[in-house]
Amino acid sequence: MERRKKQEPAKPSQDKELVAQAKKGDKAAFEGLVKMYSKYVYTTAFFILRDTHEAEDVSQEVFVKVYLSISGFRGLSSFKTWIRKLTVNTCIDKLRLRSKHKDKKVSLDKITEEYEVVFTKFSQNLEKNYFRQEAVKDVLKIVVNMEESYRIPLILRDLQDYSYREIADLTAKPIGTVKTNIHRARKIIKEKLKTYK
Amino acid sequence: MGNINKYLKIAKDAVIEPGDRIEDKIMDRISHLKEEEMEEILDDNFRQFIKNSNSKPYQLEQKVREHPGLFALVSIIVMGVIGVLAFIAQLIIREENK
Repeated sequence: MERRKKQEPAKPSQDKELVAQAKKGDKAAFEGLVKMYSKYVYTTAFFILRDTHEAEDVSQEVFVKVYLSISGFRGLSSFKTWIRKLTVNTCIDKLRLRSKHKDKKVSLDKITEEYEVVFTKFSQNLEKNYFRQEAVKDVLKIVVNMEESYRIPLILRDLQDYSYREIADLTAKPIGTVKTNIHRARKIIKEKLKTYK
Repeated sequence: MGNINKYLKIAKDAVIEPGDRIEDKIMDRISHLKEEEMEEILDDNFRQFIKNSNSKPYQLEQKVREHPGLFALVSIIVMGVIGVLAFIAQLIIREENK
């Protein structure tokens, strides 16, 4: 049975203070940033790479990169946006390096055992909240099982708020192809959700 | 498709629980970072990413690329205002020279 935990979302002022201290070399502040964002980074990596071990490896690599470069972070974007883009870039690099003979398809049962989905925001209506969360978990299962050409653009657009142009640049595909694949991915989700009911 | 959009919006707030305490593993890796590993991680792609993320001109260029129509409209308005001000200035100068 999956446990539901309430997680406090990162407060912007707390985030800024930690970043400012971490830039000066405060290791405790850096550790605070790790605690604040590690699950977020792990989740992003997991959905892109579809592998818990690689997601963990990428999470470590991302924070090593943050550790080595945070002193030069100018704050032109929020720290969350910065680490999100760094995570995505690292994952895309991994995908390029990875020599894939065929797209990894993990069975639905195996995915249920391997990961636990936790929601960081709750509404007051608990019953409605429960059914909606179950539907979202079903959607995420479908997304994780999608082939890469649909999964990556969908995740970047709908879960990471990338623009079509940014996705096109990252994936080296024309914008038209990106839009088409995202549309198809959403259609796949809609079709497969019907079979879950 | 409306429900799908709603579910995907909620999914943004979902996180996956890592198996073990990932924070400890991250801090452990940072504490035992070797020179070779640092060099491998600080590759050209990463250096370029850092350079771009800290560059105001680059960020501005990206914003223009995202919204070319808006940028063109603002440019036209600004040039229009400059043109009107220049015209008014010319009229004033002519009046003064009479």
